Amino acid sequence: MNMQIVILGQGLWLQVAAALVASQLRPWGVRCTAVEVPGEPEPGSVASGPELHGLCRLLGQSWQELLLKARGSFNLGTDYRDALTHQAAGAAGPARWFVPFGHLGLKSEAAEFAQGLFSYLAGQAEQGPEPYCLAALAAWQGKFAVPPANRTDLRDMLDFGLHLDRQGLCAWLRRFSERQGVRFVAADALFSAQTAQGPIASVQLAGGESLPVDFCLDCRPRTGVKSGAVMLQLFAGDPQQGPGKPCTSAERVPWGWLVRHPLANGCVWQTEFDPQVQKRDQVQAWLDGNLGALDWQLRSRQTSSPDEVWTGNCLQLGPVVETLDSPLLGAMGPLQALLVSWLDMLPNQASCPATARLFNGYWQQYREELNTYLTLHETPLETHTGRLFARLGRVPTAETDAVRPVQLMTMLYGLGLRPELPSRLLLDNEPAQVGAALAQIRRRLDTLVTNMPSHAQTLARCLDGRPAHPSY
Amino acid sequence: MTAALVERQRIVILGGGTAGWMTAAALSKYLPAARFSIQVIESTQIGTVGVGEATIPHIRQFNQWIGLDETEFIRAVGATYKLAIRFSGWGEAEADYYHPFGLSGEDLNGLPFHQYWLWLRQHQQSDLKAFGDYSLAVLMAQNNRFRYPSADPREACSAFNYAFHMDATLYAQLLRRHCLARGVQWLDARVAAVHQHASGDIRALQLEDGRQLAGDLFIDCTGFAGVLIEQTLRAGYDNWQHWLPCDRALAVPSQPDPTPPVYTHALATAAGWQWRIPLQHRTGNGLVYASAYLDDAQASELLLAGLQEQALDEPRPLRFVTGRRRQSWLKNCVAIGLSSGFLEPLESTSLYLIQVAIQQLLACFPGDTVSEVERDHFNRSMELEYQRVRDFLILHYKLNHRPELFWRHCATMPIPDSLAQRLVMYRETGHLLEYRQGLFQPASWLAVMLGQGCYPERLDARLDNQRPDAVAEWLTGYQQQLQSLTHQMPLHSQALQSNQHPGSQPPAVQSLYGYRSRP
Ligand SMILES: Cc1cc2nc3c(=O)[nH]c(=O)nc-3n(C[C@H](O)[C@H](O)[C@H](O)COP(=O)(O)OP(=O)(O)OC[C@H]3O[C@@H](n4cnc5c(N)ncnc54)[C@H](O)[C@@H]3O)c2cc1C
Repeated sequence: MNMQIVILGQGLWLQVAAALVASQLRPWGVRCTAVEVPGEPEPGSVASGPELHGLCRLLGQSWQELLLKARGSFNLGTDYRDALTHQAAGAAGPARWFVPFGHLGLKSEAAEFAQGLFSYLAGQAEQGPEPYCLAALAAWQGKFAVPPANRTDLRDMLDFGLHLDRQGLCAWLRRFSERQGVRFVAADALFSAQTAQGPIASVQLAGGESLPVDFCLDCRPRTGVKSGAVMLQLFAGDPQQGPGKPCTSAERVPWGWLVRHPLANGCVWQTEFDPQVQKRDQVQAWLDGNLGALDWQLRSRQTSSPDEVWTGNCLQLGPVVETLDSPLLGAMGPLQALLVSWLDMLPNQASCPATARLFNGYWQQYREELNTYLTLHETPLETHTGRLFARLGRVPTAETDAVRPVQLMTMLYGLGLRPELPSRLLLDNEPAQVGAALAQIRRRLDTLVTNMPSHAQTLARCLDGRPAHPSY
Repeated sequence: MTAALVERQRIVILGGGTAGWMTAAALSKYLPAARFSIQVIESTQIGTVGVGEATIPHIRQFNQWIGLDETEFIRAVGATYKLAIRFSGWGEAEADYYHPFGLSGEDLNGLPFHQYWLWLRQHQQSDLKAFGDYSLAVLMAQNNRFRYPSADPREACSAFNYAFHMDATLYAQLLRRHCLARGVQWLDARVAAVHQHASGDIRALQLEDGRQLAGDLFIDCTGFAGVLIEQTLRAGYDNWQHWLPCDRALAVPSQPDPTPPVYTHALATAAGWQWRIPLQHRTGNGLVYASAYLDDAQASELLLAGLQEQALDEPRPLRFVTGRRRQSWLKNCVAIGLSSGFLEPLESTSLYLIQVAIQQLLACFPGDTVSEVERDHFNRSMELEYQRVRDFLILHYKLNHRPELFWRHCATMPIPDSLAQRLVMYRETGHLLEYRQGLFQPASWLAVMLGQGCYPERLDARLDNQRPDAVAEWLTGYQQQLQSLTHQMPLHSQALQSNQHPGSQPPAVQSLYGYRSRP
């Protein structure tokens, strides 16, 4: 195959796209050129969920290597704290909950476990599902051990991603791509030449070089004046703090959420605010007052994205991924999902309008599912998902992998929604039996956590290149 | 929002066909008698539709769900195994292919098998066999063999699943016995009128003998009549006949086949198609046709002429309008079965749609009041299921080069956008998208598309630098392996005799294609 793929962009998105495409298509003879446009260096961090293992599989690399090179830490989910809303509602103490990637209980296939647990909790003084969630227990106690390959049960319960240093990740991906034969060219300016039928025939670099194109992946964020709704983001590294817990933390602050990614050496704070509603000075003052003096940097994110990612022979990845790059989500997952989906339907002609339309439909669904997840952080009952959960303790079947059902359910529960109706599929079970079964599960989970090393110990082993999992 | 429900929730199921008894069986399994009363009312005077004999693998899960032993089920309903549907005359008069409950081939170097097969076909590899010959389920169907699939995804025998042909009347009777033992109340009576609350919710059913039967939640299983959902609540109906033009059927039983095939046969005819469903004690036959192209007398003649065994009765006529109730759940009434819509029986999907509706109803079961949330969720889920099955059915009609007027009409008729886009994408790249929710995945679409001569114009770009002879050699070895596996299996009739041990079956899974996760 003599296909030529040109990837435009900078920083992380360019590197992810180049590495993924090269790993999948170089063995088939496809030529990849990555055109690096000028841009600021990208400090900060990236939080990924378990989809990272999919990325590593596609690259044929181990996550241990990635962890080592990008000085990362483990990520079992998000530890949420919301003292503000909780206090406003008159409840005592800060509300805290955990949104895991792994499932609740001991078995992933246990039908109706979550519904049974929510019904049981309705009759208990103790409120949260966390004691029945291994990921939450481990994260809250600052513990973690990598599940051995033959323990699929533990792998499901402790499904994890990584927090990574953004620049370390970029450098690692770039080295990988170079080994795969990707050609990197730096270009100050470029423009694309279209054929008479519409597709891009070549990319012209400022120096005069012309790159022929069969397919173009444009990973540049939207250029020009940012119109419509824009969110401003502040982020800062804090080298004083150790990796601590194996999870992302998110705390409600007056303008939104303050998110913390632990790394092997320190952590990164990030937050986002709407400049129409909040003054930067006020946000900065709050951050300085609460976190001490840190070197805060600013970037922006446009929130409304185009409906079409794939037009002609070009994927406009940058502008769409940008819109999902909120501190609560991160853009790695969406970018990876779009690239994998495109690779799955790889065409061998420049124009495939129907394929592009279906791909764009997939993207719109993905975006909708992520946006629903973001919306329900603030106004859960305005979403169909929130209302369904509040009534039946269920969430709608997703059409994409954007958000896991367990994330939706634990988030909604954490936000204070309680299912009105018990599951009718469990009415046959006596409450005493349910209580006894849950107590047993809780004991099993407690034992598992008690025997786990601390996150710091596991991380140190991994960073030293030693086997990551001790015996359970 | 609507009817306040009282202490012991009264569930009234109107209709004692397959839908009514399947619903009663599932509800009585999960809803404790102390808190729920379940009544089934049917009119033997009116009777049931009496067809619905071919199933898909999901029926096994349903039976397991309600605690019905598979061996007992097979004995009680005269069942035979089913591994595929054989389509003869579809697409072209000479065409003959199978839509199996199984996968064809294995992914190679990360690319789907069919891409390689199509590519070798383009390279005119002489020893390339038909696409279906790389499917174990198809080879088993062709050779009339049967064994249980393996639940271990590493084994070749894990790539298929099985279902049954069964006597629908006997199945309803079996379910009825099962339900009565669980405390379901049963009444043989005809409903003459329906009483509503001021809100529009149904309050009570007025029986012909003057009795009134009050309830809190009503399940309409009255078949095409839709006594509650349509005659009373006027839910409205989306007519899909412009996409699926058959509107009549004739059904007739014939003598049993001593060596019953392990597939359903669907033979395309001049204005529709004829089914043949082998049971242990008889053979079910029927003709589905479009009345605009074939009159009833011609249809009857065609059906009887096409029987392979002697008829046991006169052909029984059935009329239907393909489509879907706009809202299957309206007020305090949920329509399940033919009352909620009808997609013709070409892919044996009606009982599956009943099963999905029951599962959804249980998942969304209302409390003291029925709220918009559960109604909305139920209706949305069912709409998607129906639409996706509908598109797959239309595909069978649309892809054809037959000369008859009916088939010319089908080939040129407009189709839903959702289907048109899928078809064009397939033609552009040879790829098909998987659904997250919905029954038929790419394996099924490919069986029909390739079986009916629909090939993509281009293929995946990655194939360009492969060596055809090396790939062809791999395919040959693979196919030989499947063949030798098939010939080691017992014949279907032997398997029916020997598989008599309760609990010996593999666990039921909710997939058409067996025990591999990728459809
Ligand atoms: C030609 C044809 C072939 C088919 N083949 C298949 C197949 O191979 N596979 C498959 O899965 N499905 C098939 N189906 C569909 C399948 O037959 C039905 O989905 C299934 O039988 C369920 O029917 P039902 O219970 O909804 O309706 P019915 O069987 O019609 O039952 C309706 C019930 O309502 C009662 N009733 C109606 N009005 C009143 C009243 N006023 N008072 C009291 N009681 C009343 C009747 O007495 C009866 O008990 C086929 C359908 C047709 C038409």
